[in-house]
Amino acid sequence: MVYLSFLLRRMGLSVFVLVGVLILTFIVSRVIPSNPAALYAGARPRPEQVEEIEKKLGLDKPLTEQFRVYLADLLDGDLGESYHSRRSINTDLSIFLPATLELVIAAVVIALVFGIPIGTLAGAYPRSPFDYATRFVAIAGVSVPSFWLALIAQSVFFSQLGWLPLGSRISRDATLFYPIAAQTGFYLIDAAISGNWDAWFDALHHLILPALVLSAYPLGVTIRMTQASMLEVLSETYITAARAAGLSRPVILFKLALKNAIMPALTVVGLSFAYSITGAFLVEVIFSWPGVGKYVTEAVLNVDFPVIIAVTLVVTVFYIGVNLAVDLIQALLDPRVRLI
Amino acid sequence: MKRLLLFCIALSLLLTPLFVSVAQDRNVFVYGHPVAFPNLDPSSGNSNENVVMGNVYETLTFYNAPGSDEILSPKLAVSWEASEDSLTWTFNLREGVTFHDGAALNAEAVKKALDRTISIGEGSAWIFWMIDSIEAADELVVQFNLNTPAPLDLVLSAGYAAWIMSPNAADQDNAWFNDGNAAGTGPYMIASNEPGQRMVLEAYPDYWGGWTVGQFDTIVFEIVEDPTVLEQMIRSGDADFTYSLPFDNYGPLADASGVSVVVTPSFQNLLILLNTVKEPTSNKLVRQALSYSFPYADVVTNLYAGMGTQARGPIPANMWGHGAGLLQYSQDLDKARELLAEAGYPDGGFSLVYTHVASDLDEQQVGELWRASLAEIGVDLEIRGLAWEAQWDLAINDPASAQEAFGFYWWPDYITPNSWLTGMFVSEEEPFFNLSYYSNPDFDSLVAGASAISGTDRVAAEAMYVAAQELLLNDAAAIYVVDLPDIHVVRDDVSGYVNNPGYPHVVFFYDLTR
Repeated sequence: MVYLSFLLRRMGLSVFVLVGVLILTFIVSRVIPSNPAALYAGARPRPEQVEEIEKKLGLDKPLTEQFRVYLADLLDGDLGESYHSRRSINTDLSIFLPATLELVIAAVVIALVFGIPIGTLAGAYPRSPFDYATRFVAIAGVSVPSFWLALIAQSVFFSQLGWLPLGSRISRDATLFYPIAAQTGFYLIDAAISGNWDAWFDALHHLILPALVLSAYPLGVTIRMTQASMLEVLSETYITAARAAGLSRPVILFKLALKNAIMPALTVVGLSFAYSITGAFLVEVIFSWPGVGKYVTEAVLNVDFPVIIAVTLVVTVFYIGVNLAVDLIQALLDPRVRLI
Repeated sequence: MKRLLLFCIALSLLLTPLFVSVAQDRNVFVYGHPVAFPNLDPSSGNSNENVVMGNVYETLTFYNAPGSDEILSPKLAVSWEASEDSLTWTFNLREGVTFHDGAALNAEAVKKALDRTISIGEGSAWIFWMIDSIEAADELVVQFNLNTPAPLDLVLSAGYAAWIMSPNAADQDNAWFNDGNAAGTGPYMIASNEPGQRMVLEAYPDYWGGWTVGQFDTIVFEIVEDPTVLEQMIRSGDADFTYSLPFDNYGPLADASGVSVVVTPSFQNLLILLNTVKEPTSNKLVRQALSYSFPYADVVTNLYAGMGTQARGPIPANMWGHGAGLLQYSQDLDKARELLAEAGYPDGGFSLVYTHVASDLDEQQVGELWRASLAEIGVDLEIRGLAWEAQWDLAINDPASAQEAFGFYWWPDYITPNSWLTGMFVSEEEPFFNLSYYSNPDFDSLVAGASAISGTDRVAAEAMYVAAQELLLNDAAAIYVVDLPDIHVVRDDVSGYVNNPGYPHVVFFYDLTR
């Protein structure tokens, strides 16, 4: 019962945030540009075209009516049409969103797989050289700008060593000779489904560098959080008891302590997943990764408001969704949270 | 930890050999393109996708690169003629041409394609405003009936909206084209499209022009926004062609081995329109003084690294209708002071507002250089960067409270001086793009007269266009800043490349060999 009311309260808050963002984005798209029809018409339209477009976009109607239509379209799941390309934004996002998600998921997986063991060990051996080294890596990961890291990574792994490609999601050879049949939009999955292993390796090869760069932030956060809560947990009496009972160090660290230490780390990683979606924007541009970031960057350059707003909405929904999920999981695992 | 690190390194080493190129049996040309292709619909596409359109579709007539003997050459039409009043145009189509989907090119197909574009009415479709009706007079004869005399042969050579698509494709909607489908008559077909990333074209084996050894059979467009990456690609030979790098990078690139930087004048120029309605720029002497105050040489050498050229009137120097003998203002601050004194502003003492597109740093620097010169003659310049549509809104709402100087780029939709002269300077009841609000009945009638005969007597039309520009320059309705260059980077082992500014940044791959 307590859980149910907590759930409803949290969901209510999420809806509130979503409505706020909806209103803000509407104002930004319809009120701030002094002439949306001219934006839609593109470079050098004729007067008749601008008039036609005003009618087509419903800009001659009152703002409240425009907002009603906008909401109705959104509830139908229609994000609208790009001013610049006339393409449906739903179609575009169905192409670009999987690319971004593939990158972000890979980055978060890297962060977890490397971050948790490193953080655990750093917590287990405080003030050791390993601890200091991981602190340095973690703080660097969180504070170094991703675009700088991306350029350095390109210069080392592409220009100097020649191990990894400069950018893009798949090689030209793969496109020409063993193209991936698009199904989910996740190249690793699509290539695996069709047994196209040449393309699978190719896609993985292209994924490594941008995913590593993008993982810097969540990796740093995961290391720091795991290390901090590990330190705390290791000073608990039950750990001392386990030690006294003669349990081996790995068992104490990874079985007993980590279970309790991992919660705060997971919370932050959940949030940094949402953060990484926007963090991916810069990384995508530098690695020519055809995802939402590259898509919205072009939209910003073309002042393509419907696209900018649709992406803002989608990212908001992700943020809210991940936030909500993290809250709910926490409450499920730790009853004290439900009372807040 | 150590084991994990070793594993990663081993994995990378293991994967590397998998990715050596296997493309040896194909002759592939790679175009490193700085932006995505927004709209692949040949009727409404009005942007960078023209580099694809120009190879997949064809027009009835073709605008030749500057320096050719003739302005136009035949493409899908082999010959054409206009009635004496320029109101009826007859085009004879090429025989034996097929679309990529197998349909034959005939008069019905041309009619259907152009009717589609006209009825959609988006993008550059307005260039067909003078067409009343299109008739298939015979299997291979198309007749156009116009409501106003116009140079239809030039209109039909346009690099936007004039493409002929197959009758089956003409039945499709915008989404079909944007899924990567196409059916033109051009030498290349769209083989695959990964939006925002890559597009592949393949040679159309039944192309009417035929194929010879050495021509490219596969074209790849790599969409790469980051200019640093583009430059790396062209330097390493990973791309054969690119453009849109920062100005400063071209110098070192020109010295790099295996790469040529090709600089040719484009048909785009930068002007500053002067408000002819509002004081003090309503005074012709003030506008002339401003024209003499502008630091042309500084802008050309410092801002455009010497690759642009100072404009002489509105029409670019390499285009028909340009007047080589027209008045060209140059910076002469003494003369500017004299003119200001004559106009009643002996020490300047007024201030002007110059607006430009906020994201355009070139336009901003043009303003800054000009402001420094103006300060010397006692005129203050406020530089205001605005979003394009806000800048435009300010100009069209009320000329009396609008900016005095409007930074403006212009390029033609089809290649005619009329584009500049009618677009920006013929009197308008409500301001639209005549943002100097220039109004001169003599000028208007010269331009209208030239336009009417430009389809039948281009020499006479040209003389009238030049006479019109003389009036314009004397009235100093605008400052003609710079004719912009097209700067293209091409790998040296590609031969046959010629830039044609009539089709901006389009590489006609069919003409190239390696």
